[in-house]
Order: sequence, then structure tokens, then C-alpha cells
Amino acid sequence: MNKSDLLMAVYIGGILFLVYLPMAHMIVFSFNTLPLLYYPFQGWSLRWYNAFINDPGLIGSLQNSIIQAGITTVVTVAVSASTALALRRRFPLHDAFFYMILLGMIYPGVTLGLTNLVVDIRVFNIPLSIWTVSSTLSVWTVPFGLLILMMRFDPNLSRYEEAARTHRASEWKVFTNITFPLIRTELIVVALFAFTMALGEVFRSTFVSSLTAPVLPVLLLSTLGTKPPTPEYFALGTVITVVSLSAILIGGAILVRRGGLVTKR
Amino acid sequence: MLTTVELAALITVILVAISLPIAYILAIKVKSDAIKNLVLLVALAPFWIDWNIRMIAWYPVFGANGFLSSIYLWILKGLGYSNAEPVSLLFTNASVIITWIQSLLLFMVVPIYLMMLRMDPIVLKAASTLRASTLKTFYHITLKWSLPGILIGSVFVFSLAMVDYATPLLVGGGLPTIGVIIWQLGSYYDWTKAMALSTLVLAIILVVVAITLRRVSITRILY
Repeated sequence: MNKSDLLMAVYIGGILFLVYLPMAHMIVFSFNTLPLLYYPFQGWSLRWYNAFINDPGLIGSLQNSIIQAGITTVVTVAVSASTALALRRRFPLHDAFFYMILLGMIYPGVTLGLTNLVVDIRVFNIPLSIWTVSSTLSVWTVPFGLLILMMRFDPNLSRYEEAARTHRASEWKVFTNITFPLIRTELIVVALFAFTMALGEVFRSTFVSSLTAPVLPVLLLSTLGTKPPTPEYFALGTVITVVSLSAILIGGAILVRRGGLVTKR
Repeated sequence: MLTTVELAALITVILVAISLPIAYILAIKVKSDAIKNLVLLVALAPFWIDWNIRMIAWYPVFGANGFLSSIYLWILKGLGYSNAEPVSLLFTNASVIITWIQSLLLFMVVPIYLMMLRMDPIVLKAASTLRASTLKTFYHITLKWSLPGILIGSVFVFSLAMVDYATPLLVGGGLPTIGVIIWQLGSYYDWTKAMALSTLVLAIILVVVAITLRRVSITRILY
């Protein structure tokens, strides 16, 4: 290892340190015995885990969030898969359609939330619930799913499908026997990413979340914006972090095993 | 309004500077695909965790008796200043910027990395054969080649930082950025005003996107 290699390793190490520094503090301080979030650390206890498990408001909104993220995941997988398959062919306004979907990625979160609020309440008169949150978040998760699928489709997918059609397989048979098995792993990855994205998104869900049964990020922002956090929130955060990190690492590991996070062309 | 644009522009510039070496090291210097993937995966995994939770996780780091303050005191004591006071970074612009570096890094590193992966290593070899200095090679080849990635990443970071209200609210102590103002207006049911402001933000972001798309095509990064 020469000097420049060492320098590069130190640089990457520093970035990783910065990224994981707050995470490590959150996990350690969630076990604090006193309701303090600063040094010196007082000693280990599980009281804050006990506190959040017995907090009906937090647990209720966590349940809402999990159901909402589940709905969003199903919608994202279905819509991004069908869109990615369709976009392989040229059709009128192909590029315009593609860019319109991609707009969901950079469309400002707060604007998306407000627009959906007005459309849901004023135009369609739909009461706010986890369904309005899901419909809003899907606009944002679908383009990410679409990009993952488009970057990683098997280059020979269309050829295999064509071969099956030549042998007079019905379109349904082509999908169930050829297309679906070939994109199944990618769909699992999209589902994992969509679920964790939808579970933690605050900006797009603020205005479309019901006031009586809010999703977790919305409840957290409104509580934490008014009073300082206790280790109770750190305990909750640790649980969510461990679950989300495992989901993302599993998803990433699947992508790596199937030829790298991003494929070289 | 101006504060918001300034802060968003500042974090964009900072992130370009931080991300270029990361993408360069990962895409070009690291030869093993396994290490590339491992570093990328480990570095990017936390970005999918709940935004609020990532924000409050910074409290023990920034606070008056937090991690950074303790290190600062330790260094000062080591230098012989026994009466040094603890400092709190919490609820300052600096803490917002540091938090953003952590939370928006992904959106800058990945587009630049994708562009650099496509760079032909032969060109770099040619440059070194012709005795170009490392800095010259970096400026004339690497930087120009990864420009589309830098632009796309900047659009992402700028548009996310513009309307972020959780960070200014939780770490910045209610810094009145445009996102916080829209959030407050919306929370007090002043939807018309909130919509007017967010339309303005959308217009700014779309102008930035339009300028970027004139220079690069997204599809060039994808295919």
C-alpha cells in the first residue's frame, strides 16, 4: 500500500465515519438510563424501549406507516414493472411519457403533498387516510423503481419473449413463463427499496396524512418540532433503522450477487 | 427566500467537491468490483432510513455536551486551556450544512459515479503516456467526462435542499427557509398562500432542470 492508496482509504473512511456517526450515537443513547442525549453516557437500560412499546400513539402510527408502505410497495412494483416493460418499445410520445414519470423524482416533496391534498379534498372529496398517503408517495417511488428495472433488464429478455411467441405461446404464457421469472429478482429489490422509502418519507406525506391517524414520520415531525426528543424516540429510531438497514442491505446484496450494483455497459 | 437559495447553492457546491473524489476513487482507482460494491452499499444504505430519525440522531453529536463539543474541549484542554467553554453547534447554519452533507450525499455520488464508470481507461493511459500531470488529466478528462453526472446530481441536491423543512426545523432550530414557511402556512390551513409559494419553488426548480437538460440528456446516463 503506497501513500496515495492510504490517503484514499482515509478519505473514504472519513466519509463512512460521518455517515454512521449519528447512527452510532442514536443506538448507544437509546439505551441511556436518564432522559439525556449528551455525554457522559449514564449507563445501560431498556426503559426507553419499554416506553415506546407502551406508547399507543407511536405504535398506532407505526402500524399505519407499515400498512401504508405495504400498499405503496404493491402499487410501485406493479406500475414500475409494467411501465419498464412497455418503455422497451417505441410509441408516440415515448420520451415525453418517460420524462413525465421521472418528474416525480425531482418534484418538490412539499408541493406534491399540497397538490395532492387539494386534489383529494377539494376535487374528489376523499377523506385523508393512509390511502391518500400511498397514492401521493407512489408518484415518487415509481420512478425510482422504473430506473432500477430499466438499468438492469436482461439484455436478451425481448429475444426470449420473441422465441416463445414464435412457438405460439399466448401473451399470458409469455409473461408467466418467460418475462416474470427473468425479472423476479429485480422486482424483489424494487419492493424492498419502495417499502423503506415509503416508510420513512415525511415531506410528501405531511399534508395528505390524516390528523387523527397520522403516519409515523408526520407524527414525529410535529412532536419533535415542538418539544426536545427523549431517548424514547431514539429507541424507536434504532428499531426502524435496524429493520430498514437490513432490508436495504439484503436488496443491495441481491443486486451485487447478480452482477454489481450498477452494470457496466 | 434568499437564505434558502444561498444555503441550497452552498450545499450543492460542497457536495460536488466532496463527491468528486469519492466517485473517482470508487470508479477508477479501486479495481476490485467486490470492494466497489461493498463500499457503495455500506455508504449508501443509511439514506433510506426515516428522515426525522436521521435528523434527531445528530443531537448527541452537535449538542453542548455532545460528541464534537467533547472533542473540542479535549483538544483545548490538551493545549493547556483549562477554562474552555463547551460549544453547541445545534440550531446553527453549520449544523444544517453538515446534516445535509450526510443526508444528500447519495444523490450527488451516484450520478457522478455512473458517468465515471463509463469513462474509457485507455484515455487516462494515453494522458499519462503523453506526460500530462495528474491535475491536468483530472481537469481535462475526468471532470469534463463526468460533467453530466455533476449537473444531474446538482439538480437533485438543489431541489431537495430548497424544500427540505425537517432539517431546518429539527437541526436548524426553525431557520426560516422557504420549505419551513410553506410547511407552516400549510399547517395553519393557509393553503392558497402555501400553494402560491410552492408553485414559485417549482418554477425555480424547473428552470434549473431545463437549463441542465439543455446540456445533458438523462438517457445518456441510463443506457
